[in-house]
Amino acid sequence: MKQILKIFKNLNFSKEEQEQNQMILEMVYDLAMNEIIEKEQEWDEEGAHFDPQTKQVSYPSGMMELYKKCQENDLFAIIVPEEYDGFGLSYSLWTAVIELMARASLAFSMFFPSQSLSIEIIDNHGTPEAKQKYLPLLSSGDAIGAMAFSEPNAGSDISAVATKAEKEGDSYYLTGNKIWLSHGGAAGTNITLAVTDKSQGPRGLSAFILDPEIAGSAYEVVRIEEKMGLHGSITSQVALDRAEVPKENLLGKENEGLRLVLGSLASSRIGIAAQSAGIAETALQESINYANQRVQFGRPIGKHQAISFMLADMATQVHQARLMYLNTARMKDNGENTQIESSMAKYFATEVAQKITYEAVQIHGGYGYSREYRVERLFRDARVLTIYEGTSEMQKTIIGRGTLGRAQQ
Amino acid sequence: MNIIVFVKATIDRNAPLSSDEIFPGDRDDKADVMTNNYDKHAIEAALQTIEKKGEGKVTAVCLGSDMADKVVKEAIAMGCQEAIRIENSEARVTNFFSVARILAAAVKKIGTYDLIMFGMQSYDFSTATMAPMVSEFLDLPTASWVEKISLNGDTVKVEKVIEGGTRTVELKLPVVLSIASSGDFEEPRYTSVRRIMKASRTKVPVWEIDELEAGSLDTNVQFTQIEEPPARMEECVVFKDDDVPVLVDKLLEALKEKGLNLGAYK
Repeated sequence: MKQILKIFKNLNFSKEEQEQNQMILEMVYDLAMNEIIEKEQEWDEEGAHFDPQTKQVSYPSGMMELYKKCQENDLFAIIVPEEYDGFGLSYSLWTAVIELMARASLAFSMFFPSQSLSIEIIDNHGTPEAKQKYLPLLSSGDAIGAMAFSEPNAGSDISAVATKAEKEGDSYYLTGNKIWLSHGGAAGTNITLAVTDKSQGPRGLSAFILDPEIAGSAYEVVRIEEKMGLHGSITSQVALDRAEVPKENLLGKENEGLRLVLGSLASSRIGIAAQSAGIAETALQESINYANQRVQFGRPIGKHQAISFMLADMATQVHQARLMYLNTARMKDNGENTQIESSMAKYFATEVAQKITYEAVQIHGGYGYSREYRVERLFRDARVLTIYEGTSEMQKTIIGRGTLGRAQQ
Repeated sequence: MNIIVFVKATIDRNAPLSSDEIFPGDRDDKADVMTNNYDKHAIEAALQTIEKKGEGKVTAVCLGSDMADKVVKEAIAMGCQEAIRIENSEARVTNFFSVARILAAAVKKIGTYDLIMFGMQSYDFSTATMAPMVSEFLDLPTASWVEKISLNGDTVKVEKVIEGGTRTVELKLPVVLSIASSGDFEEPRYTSVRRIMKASRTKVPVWEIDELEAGSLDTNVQFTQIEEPPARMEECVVFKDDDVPVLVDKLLEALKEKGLNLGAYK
């Protein structure tokens, strides 16, 4: 925690903002480290639930109680503009909150990045009606925000979306299959992409707020994924069969959905980088504690250079990852375009999380391979980070293009 | 209903221990200071009491240097309506007796109060003496380690922790209570973003010790040395025997040797 506060002291915040940031981060740290972390193992063992009869999804026991505490403490309102019941605070603070949550449980932290992405997309591109309706719900956390982009044939190539949207009267009707939906079935809003003009290819996609309450039974969870890690988080497959979306829920202009979505992903990638720094920090902490306590060859293993050098590398890399995501978030606060930097932060931090959770298992030796120890879970959970929200390869594609563009005459 | 809650700024339990810096006012880094954990239970008790009553005001009071600003702000961020800090720069007054005199004088200056609450002890020195001393200076009834509070007109019935159980006592208001970290107030509430925003905009009044009629503040306690307790080394003994009764006998024998009170197993 001290490391985060130290970096914050050196970001350009006013004295009053510094004080607010510190108090909020301390509150989140207490919540994460006193309560959420206690449940993390149980959530991993129990996993999320799906009832094939009723098609209802649910989170593991106790998760929603802690979600409610986040609501009571106004956490989801942090970056929501004041006119929609929010506090209009900085993205830097928000991403640091994500890091702290991810330190306690990556599965629980999944509530945060998609919430802010939903808020940002609706705030920037929603109709006045949609903003009035959904921003207060997302701000209070009464609606969980989800992203429904991926499809069986549209992963990294998001432009290959095949779900079609047919306009009839004042509504669009969406038909297709969406996969890898975090919170699918539990979310109050789903930001989605669908084809509105097939002849235009990628330029014929539109973005919508899909509200399951309006869509009713036309929005159906088919199954939830059995994953390697993140067991506590719901990942669904959803079938849309003429799911109604009123025209007020169109985001931006018709047929301009792809650009809108791709442009917005940059900011949520900072959040994924923050998650990565969080899980890496926990892996580091676990390793430090173990290295101090485990005695081999007559002294704690941390006193052996082999282990202390590993810890030194890990600590340096976590620090780098944290500096990258916080600096990018601050750039965004200051109105800079962070397309390239967001990808760099996401790419670097998520890869670092792989390395650090891997080393943490190594330091723990045989115990690290046992389910009894946290690092085994961290290793499994962290694996998804380089994949979702744009794979490392997609990030490198973006960074590569940007780098070539820097050519000097 | 007016409730005064005293909160103390203590050194963060995670901060490095240094014998030259045992009071928050000695430190340079504000991050090393935190609200005494036990006082959060007292704030919780105060807030629950006015919530139950449906009206009232909770005022948090802290004796401390500007390092303690964050402690009074945290009290507001938990839900206290008002806060006051009594300036104690460079840890001018630290002995418990004088501190109690200052706190009692502050209560007199506030003037209107029905309940005065403390945490059951402080996280750092753990003397648990402040509530009884202040009650003595104010000539008010007191109860320590209170787990449950019910108001009834001009009296209050409290359940207090005693060894092996609880005792119920009824006291006439106003009273001084020290709140246990168990029972109804076991889980102090969190601060929230909304209340933090309010706290950061609140200007907390600062009172000077000399403005209070606290009487003599002569020091009667001096810290000569502070040191970390030595690490205790215990060896782990493993008993092995296939016969369970034999195993139990061996274990009992070993425990007896350690001088443990085994009750019926003597």
